[in-house]
Amino acid sequence: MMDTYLETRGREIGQAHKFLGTQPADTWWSQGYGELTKFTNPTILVERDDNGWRLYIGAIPSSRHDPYGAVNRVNIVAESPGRGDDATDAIVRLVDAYLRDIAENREPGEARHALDEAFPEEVVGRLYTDSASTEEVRGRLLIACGSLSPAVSAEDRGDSWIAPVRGEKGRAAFVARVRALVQGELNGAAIFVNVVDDPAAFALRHDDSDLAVLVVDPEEHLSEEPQSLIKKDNRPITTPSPPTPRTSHQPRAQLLIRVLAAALLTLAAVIGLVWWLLSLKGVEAASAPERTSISSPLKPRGGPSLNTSLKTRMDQTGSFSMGWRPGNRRIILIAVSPEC
Amino acid sequence: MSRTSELDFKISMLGPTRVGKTSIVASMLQGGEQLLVGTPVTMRPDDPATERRIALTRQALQGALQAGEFRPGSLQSTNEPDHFKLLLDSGVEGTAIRFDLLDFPGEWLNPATRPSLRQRDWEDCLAFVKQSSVLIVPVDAAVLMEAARQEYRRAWPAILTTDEVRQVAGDWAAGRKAAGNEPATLLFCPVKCEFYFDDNGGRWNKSEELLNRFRDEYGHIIDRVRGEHPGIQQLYCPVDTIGCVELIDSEWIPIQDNVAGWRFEPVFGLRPDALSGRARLRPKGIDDVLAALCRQLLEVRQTAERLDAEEAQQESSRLWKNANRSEGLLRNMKLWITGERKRRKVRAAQFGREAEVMRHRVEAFDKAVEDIAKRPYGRRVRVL
Repeated sequence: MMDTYLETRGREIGQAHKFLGTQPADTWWSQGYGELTKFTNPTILVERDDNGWRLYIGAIPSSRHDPYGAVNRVNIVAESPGRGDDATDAIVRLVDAYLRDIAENREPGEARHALDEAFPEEVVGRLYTDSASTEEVRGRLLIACGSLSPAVSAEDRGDSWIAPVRGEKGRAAFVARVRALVQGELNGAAIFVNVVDDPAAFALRHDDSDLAVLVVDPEEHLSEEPQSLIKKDNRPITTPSPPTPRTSHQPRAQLLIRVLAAALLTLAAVIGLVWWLLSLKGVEAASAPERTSISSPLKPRGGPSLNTSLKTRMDQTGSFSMGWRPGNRRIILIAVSPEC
Repeated sequence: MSRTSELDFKISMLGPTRVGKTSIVASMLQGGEQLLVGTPVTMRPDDPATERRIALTRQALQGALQAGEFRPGSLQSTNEPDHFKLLLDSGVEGTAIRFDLLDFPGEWLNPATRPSLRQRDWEDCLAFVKQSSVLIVPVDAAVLMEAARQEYRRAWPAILTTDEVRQVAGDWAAGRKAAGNEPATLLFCPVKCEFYFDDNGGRWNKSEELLNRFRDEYGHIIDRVRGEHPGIQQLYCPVDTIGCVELIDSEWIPIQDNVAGWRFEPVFGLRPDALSGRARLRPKGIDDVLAALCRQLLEVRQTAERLDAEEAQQESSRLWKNANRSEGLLRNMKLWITGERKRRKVRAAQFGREAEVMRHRVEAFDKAVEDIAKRPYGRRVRVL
């Protein structure tokens, strides 16, 4: 069964906005939609998820005034964990009538008139101070809604869309969505809000449930026909491009070159060390009487023939040297300087 | 993360229902470009939702004027918290200051008129207030000035909710002190002042009497805040939010079932010049509110920017030192092989450039703050 709550001000000083009788468990409308709407102005919020549906209709004017002369407005909240019934049909009528009042700028409108009939000044005064008035509030509210003309009959579009409240098709689609939500045909939301009009703002909020949005759009940027909202998931991906192969491979290639260069340098250092050690021995060996020549077809460019008895040394230019030391029978050395 | 990127300024309004809190916000943005003449500082809505909220408030004010008289009570009171996202542009590129101004139903101040359902919302509002750099307390000047009898004056605390304001403002001040003596400003803004000043079309100057009555009723709030945090700047900034009206009638009406209770109902009429042409909102004194606000926000931002710039400079020096340091033959070779040395130098250079940008920004902020500080407050303003 649907729970209904009605909030309004009293006639007397200190009779601030208050739910007559019992009140909802929390202020979900304020917590969830405060950035999209100004609650002193007309607002309709309907949402449904796996826990049921919730509805908020705000700022319906009345003929009553507060002690300062301001119009006392009425806010209605309805909630249910289940599917719709006859009572929900009455609530849908109220949504339909209120939207027409807003769009056609009717003052007093049909919604206001019906609620004024059900909640005259003296009744509100009594209900305001009577905490056991829940059933009476519900009964009066349903009578008021039932007195309204039946809501327009239209098919739910079944997607996410936005339209200005002035457009008849948008309003009809909105009412159809509200009906579908309260009857449990789908999860999602239908909202009429008054401070945001930009479709992008709603697309960003929208994840997997369908969303129907009516907006005030005072500057008439939107066409009267409902237009689809773009789901965030369907937006073109605009993440930064991956790094180009050049930039991604460049550091690795540079590293390889440096490692190779470092290895060659190390090798050169080792050769230099070994050569120096051998030179010391060579000095000793220089006093030995015999030398043997070796023949080779190889002849380094600009270098001495390998046929010759090689004076195996790092030459003065540091480019390369070869050597053969018959006494050790094992040494052919190639060294490359770091500047190579 | 830098201090400046974490800065999110909050401003709260604290006053009874229908005193004109929302009208002050609307007035603040009335021709924001002209408000601080002689400075590059401007203020504007930071998002379309705020722009629309302001427009709706202005429409309501303008609509109320068209009837030939202005009954402040006829405006809808706020029944849910409203956030106004505003942007203060100091004229220094890349340093626009965003802030969030909270306007909540005045009835929530008093536990007796706060619905139990709203307890969580109220706690959210209190948390916001505690983090605010600036607290604006609107004061109903007509209630103070038109209380001719002692019994009406006895109704001041109930009508103006001064006891509740004192409690919340005192807690706010203590919170500011606990948060490292953060700079903060408390602005008392008498509203509906059109009838008591002669600098905006009014015929009489009753400003001294208004100040005296304000001190009588709000003195204990000033003292409490000073006691909690002497560093808080407290200013008295009377404001005309409408401008083209003056008080033509008022009535003190006894509240039923409350022997000491009165309610005050003023009626403002349009001034002859407004009656002859189209009545336009002509706020006065709001520029001083805005100047105080700008000074506060710019100073906080300037301090944060300076600290960030100093840290950036130190970090830049450290990075250069690190990049050029010799770590021995083998480690130097390793740094060269892995490219770490080059990376360190690139990073140091990058940070150096950022530090330089920050230094320039601090210099520009210094200039903006100096410009605002040079601008004297109007003759309505008093430092409390």
